[in-house]
Amino acid sequence: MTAPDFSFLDAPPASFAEEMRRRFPTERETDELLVRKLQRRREDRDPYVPSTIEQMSSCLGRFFHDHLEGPFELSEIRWLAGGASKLQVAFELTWQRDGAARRDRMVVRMDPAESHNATSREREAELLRAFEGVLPVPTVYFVDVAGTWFPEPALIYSFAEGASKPRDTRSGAVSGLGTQFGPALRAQLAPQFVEHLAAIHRYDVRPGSFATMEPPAVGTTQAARWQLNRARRVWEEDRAEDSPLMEVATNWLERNLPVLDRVSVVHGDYRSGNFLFDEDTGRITVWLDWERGHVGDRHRDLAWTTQAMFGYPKEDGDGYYVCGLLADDEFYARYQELSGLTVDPDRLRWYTVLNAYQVLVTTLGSVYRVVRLGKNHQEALMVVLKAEAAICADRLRRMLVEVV
Amino acid sequence: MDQTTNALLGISKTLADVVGPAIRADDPLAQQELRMAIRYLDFLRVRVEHLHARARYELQFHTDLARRVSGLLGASPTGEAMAGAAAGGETVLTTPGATLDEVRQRSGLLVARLTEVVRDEPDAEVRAAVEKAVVAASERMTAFERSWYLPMGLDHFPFEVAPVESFLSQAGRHDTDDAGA
Repeated sequence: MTAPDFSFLDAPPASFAEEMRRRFPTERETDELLVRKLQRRREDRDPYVPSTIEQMSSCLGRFFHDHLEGPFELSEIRWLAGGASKLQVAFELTWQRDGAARRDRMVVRMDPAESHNATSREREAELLRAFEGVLPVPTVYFVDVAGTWFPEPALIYSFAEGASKPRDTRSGAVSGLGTQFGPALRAQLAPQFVEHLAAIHRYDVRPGSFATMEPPAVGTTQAARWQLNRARRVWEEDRAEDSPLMEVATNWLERNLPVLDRVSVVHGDYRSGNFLFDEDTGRITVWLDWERGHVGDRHRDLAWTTQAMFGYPKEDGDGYYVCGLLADDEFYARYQELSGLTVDPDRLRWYTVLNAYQVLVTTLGSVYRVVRLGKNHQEALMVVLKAEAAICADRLRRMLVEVV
Repeated sequence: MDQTTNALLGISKTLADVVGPAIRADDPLAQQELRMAIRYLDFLRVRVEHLHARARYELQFHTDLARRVSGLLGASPTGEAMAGAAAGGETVLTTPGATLDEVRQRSGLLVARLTEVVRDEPDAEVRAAVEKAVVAASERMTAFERSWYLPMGLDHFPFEVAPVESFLSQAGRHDTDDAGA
């Protein structure tokens, strides 16, 4: 007898993709992204060729040739680090807009051929446009929705100045996880951090507000169902092993789906490492990484933001600061005050378990598959992130002890 | 004499001392990936000697859990199958010279059986008991995993984590705790 072999997931048959759709229905765009992911594994068997800076430069040239009417010039083209899932290239564009010559620093943000986080550049652009003027966000210039000009779908937006962590800290070295800001910066950044989250959740979502996202029905479990199904589906599509603990979590989540009380925009990855700030003024200059954004339950964000993996231990050793910024009771109190929205402990607990489950899906399942398929630009970062699975599994277990 | 750890030490050093300075300052992606590669090599250097012991620890854990779960399932076909799977795990653990692949295969098989039961057990009361057993027993495994990956430097609370040797020295010992924890 041998253990189950999950290598078929390297190129799963079309029938498997159909089975996933049937077993785990989710929102339309997410469904399309996941179908495309499996289709590419099945059909795109060519050896992976890493994107080079010369190739990206050439793509940018062709893109602007087809999208700009006047002359333009590209310069200062270079890779950016940061962001564990997307390729990012910074550049300067000298061009004409509304009859005026200008020079702008921009970033092109593109999916890798295989990502541990299959998301939509079109949705990210739509969310950034919605929050322009509401929050500090990059200005969206262009979107290559289908990867017509670039090797993969790509978003072009303004380059944002700022740092993701203090100059003099060694913390937060892996994708902004566990950043130590220090007392002075904490005092400056924490109020903005909470205020911005409240603004996101207060955003007035109406039917038709977004082309890429459908609001789930209030008074039903649809919002939670979509998110759970997404996570379960990705686990089934990416994993290399079975896990009884994950199965216990699945059972509990299925039995306790919460009802949605209000539709909110959910950032999806609201944490330290995803905002930049000016260290001299203490102002948050931009919010990035909206790729996991959706419309749904605000508790998804609240539970995500307060995860231990994003926190930093308090000086007295009693727990941690939320995203390295403020104590959790202070975080929730300020959030409720600023948003006028309640924090429901039962829903918060459900989304806390879901988030731990989802992080395990990523770090135990998707990271393995991405590295195995070898079609990513940050495999070394991926294998280091695997260590997070151990911490997260322990956190999930602790939560399950309380509820199962 | 095997010189793997010495080799890993040298490779890590040359990546940091020779390759690192050759990377352009305006290529932060390459710098990041080099840092992560070095971090993983350093982790591997302190764990590579324990890979077989790790596999045996995992198999012992899953064998103990399968035995515990088979007791909860009782004299049913599923219970008997689980007891058989646990016995198979025990056989591999007591087989002198069992290879790393044999140990891992048996572990994977046990995990698959346990997962099936959690997912498919039709009796709600029995399933609830199995879920509790899995969660209680998993403390032993998640504590070990945190210890295993501690050298990677991502754990915020390292003082909670016991040395990996304290776990690996238990491999091959039967679990006598009722909760399996």
